[in-house]
Amino acid sequence: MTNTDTDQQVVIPGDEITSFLQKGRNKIILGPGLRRVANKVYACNGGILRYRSPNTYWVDSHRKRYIPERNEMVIGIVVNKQGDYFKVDIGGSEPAILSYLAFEGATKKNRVKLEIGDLVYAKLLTATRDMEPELVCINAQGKSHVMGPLANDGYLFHCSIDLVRKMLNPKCPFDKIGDHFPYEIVIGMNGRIWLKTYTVKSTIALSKAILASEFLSFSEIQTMCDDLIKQYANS
Amino acid sequence: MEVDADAEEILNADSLKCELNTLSRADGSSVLCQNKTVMAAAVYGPVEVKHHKMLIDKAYIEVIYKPKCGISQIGDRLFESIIGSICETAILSSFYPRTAIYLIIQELQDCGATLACSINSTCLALIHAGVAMNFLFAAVTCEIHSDQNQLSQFQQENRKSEITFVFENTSDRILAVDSYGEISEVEYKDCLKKCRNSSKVIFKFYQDMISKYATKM
Repeated sequence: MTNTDTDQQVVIPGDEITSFLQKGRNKIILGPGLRRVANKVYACNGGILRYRSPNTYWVDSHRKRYIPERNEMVIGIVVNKQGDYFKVDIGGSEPAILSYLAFEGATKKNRVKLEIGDLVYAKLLTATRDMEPELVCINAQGKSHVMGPLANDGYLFHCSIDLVRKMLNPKCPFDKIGDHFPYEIVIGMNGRIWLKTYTVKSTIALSKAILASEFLSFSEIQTMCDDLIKQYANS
Repeated sequence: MEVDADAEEILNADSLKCELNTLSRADGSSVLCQNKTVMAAAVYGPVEVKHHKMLIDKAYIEVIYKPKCGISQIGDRLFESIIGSICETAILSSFYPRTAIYLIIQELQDCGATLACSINSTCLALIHAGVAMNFLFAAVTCEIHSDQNQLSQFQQENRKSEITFVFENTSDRILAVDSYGEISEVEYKDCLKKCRNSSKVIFKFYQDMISKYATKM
């Protein structure tokens, strides 16, 4: 293990990281990429060990394949209609189920209009490794909030899961582009991004910029965004 | 990690070159160049599994080895079973029940030590795919020459025998051994020591590859 910086600790699978955890705490939360064996903690993914106070640790690793996780917001594609349920592909190892009653204002009489191939932005109600995941498009108050079917005039593209996490980071400078040309974006934790702007040109520019930011740091993304805004203003 | 001087005899860090994310559709992919041998590996998974292959408590792991030309032969099937059993111990397959993980290895250039190179490229592809693993693994091949007790990784004309060791990174245990030809006990022990030292070069290389892309996340 090379200790370059406390925030940039690179771990590889099999590394024992017990010594990095805070001593004297009786409760520590281990996130993805870490597992406990007896009284030792090991990394099981290669990436960067992160810490958030007071007691949470996890490993940020590269991943393209989605593994459903409870309470995550995902973009799904309807693949089948089966009686009371829609089968929705969320990029995991099996399709998720979405009840036709799990929409705002939906009743048995008043069904939501969803066809095969339509996109939905939904939340994972249950996701365990032994059962098929279940989606809902309403929150606990029965309101749709931001969830529900996505309009057909957007553009959907795929990216890696770590790019999604980067986009959702509050430090990510992408939202400043919105001051210069308006856009609507829906980011699913399953590596799918739905984008809608007014012109084809800006859709292409923005989607390329998002995909290019995968291997850039935040300051480099900022520079790229400034260039993009400048080019857009000139054309 | 300190590396002994005789590790350089078999493998040095300069002879390893790797590119990750070479395939856009695979979940993890790598091309590894070890000396002059080049192997590409791709990982798909965890993905949906066919019903008759489904295991309810762990992931089904399948390895496909593609030779440079033609269809795969008996030797390639042996490679598949060796790599498959190594991956089954390394991957935390109980994390992904009722799924499948497919590993596809394509031979690009064969200049000796193909098994070692394909195992190492598989490991890199698994890291890149973010598959949960117990430990990493690294394979080193060494050849024993008939005229002298010289070890190397190149395919030489006058080689007497060849042996491949696979190590893991947590406690340096041997995961697999594959040999060809006649090897005495003294030669075996000598090879084991040198290969074990060389495996540390590979583990260091893995870590460098991870830190290259991970520091931008």
